[in-house]
Amino acid sequence: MKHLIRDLELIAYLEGELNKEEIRILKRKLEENGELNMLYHLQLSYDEGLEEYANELIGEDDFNTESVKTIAINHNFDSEYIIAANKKNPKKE
Amino acid sequence: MIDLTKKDLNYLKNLQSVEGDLEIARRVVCNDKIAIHYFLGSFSIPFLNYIGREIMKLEGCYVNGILCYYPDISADYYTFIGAEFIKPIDKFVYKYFEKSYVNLSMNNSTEDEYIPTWYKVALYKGVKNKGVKEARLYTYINTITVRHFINLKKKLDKKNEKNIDDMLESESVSILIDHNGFDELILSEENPKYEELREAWDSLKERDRLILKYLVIENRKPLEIFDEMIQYVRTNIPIEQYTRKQKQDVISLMKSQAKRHLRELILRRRVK
Repeated sequence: MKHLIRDLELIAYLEGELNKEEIRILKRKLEENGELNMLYHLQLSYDEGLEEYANELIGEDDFNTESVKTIAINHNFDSEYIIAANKKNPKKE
Repeated sequence: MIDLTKKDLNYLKNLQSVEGDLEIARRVVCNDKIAIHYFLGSFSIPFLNYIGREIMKLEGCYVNGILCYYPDISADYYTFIGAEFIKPIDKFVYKYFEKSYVNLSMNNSTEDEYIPTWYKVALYKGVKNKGVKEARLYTYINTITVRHFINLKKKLDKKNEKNIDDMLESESVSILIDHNGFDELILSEENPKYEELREAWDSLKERDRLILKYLVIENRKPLEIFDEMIQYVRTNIPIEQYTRKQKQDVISLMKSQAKRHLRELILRRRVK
């Protein structure tokens, strides 16, 4: 039997309002429904929308910038440009 | 008490509160052009990009030189979030006040368009957990939209006879499933994924490690650790000007960011 998962439960999870026991119950119900991936898709899409507010309140995230710098130092730019130009969608490929 | 109905949209956005969200939702439902432009634009684009890329698995297209995934699902989103669409019954009244009482449906097809009622936006009441806790508009809209598109994708793949079990997989989701969404962190060898977690954990910056240690491992309250964590924040807002709500948001955002960094470090290790 499938569990009914209300939007309110998912919203409470995303906004960090559930305690550990409530999180366990929610995840168990989602798992039994075969919908656990939905929770994490929600989490990831939710995080994308908070980026602007996060930049404003805690400052710009330099995590990727620093990684890019490291990659740039260690790579041959000529080959990188050729690879990038040949890819329609580098992120997916 | 401030009358929010008189305030401009930027003021409401900057409030970052349920009260501001309710007023934005009210304006959308009233078909206020500025509010709708914001709602369908910068408010919705971040999660629509995610949905287009990770759920609908679209190729994307370039908008002003940036690869975007939202344009191909914008129409579906509008149909979903704007529903139901009705013929405006008050068009006679409107024209009456304009001193031109005519039946628009008879002589002007452009005026006869269906308009959105934004029923789902109207359902936003700013509350969750049986009315006890407040919920933000963004969380609500993001939640119902992601659920809608997941169902849509399932139907499409079923129709195309694709394997339903594989369709919603992505490496990031797989990492979150393997690590319980980082809602618990077990840094011991009892954890079957200990090695990759330990390696990522050791590569985290001090700020990320501390916030996860305090909130996830030690289960401490956000306001308890604000004074210690504020040293890692880089904005122009003076510390004494942070409201209680902003302090909670600072810690919550730092936690989300730390979880994302941890996930990305694991992802990099896996794709090596």
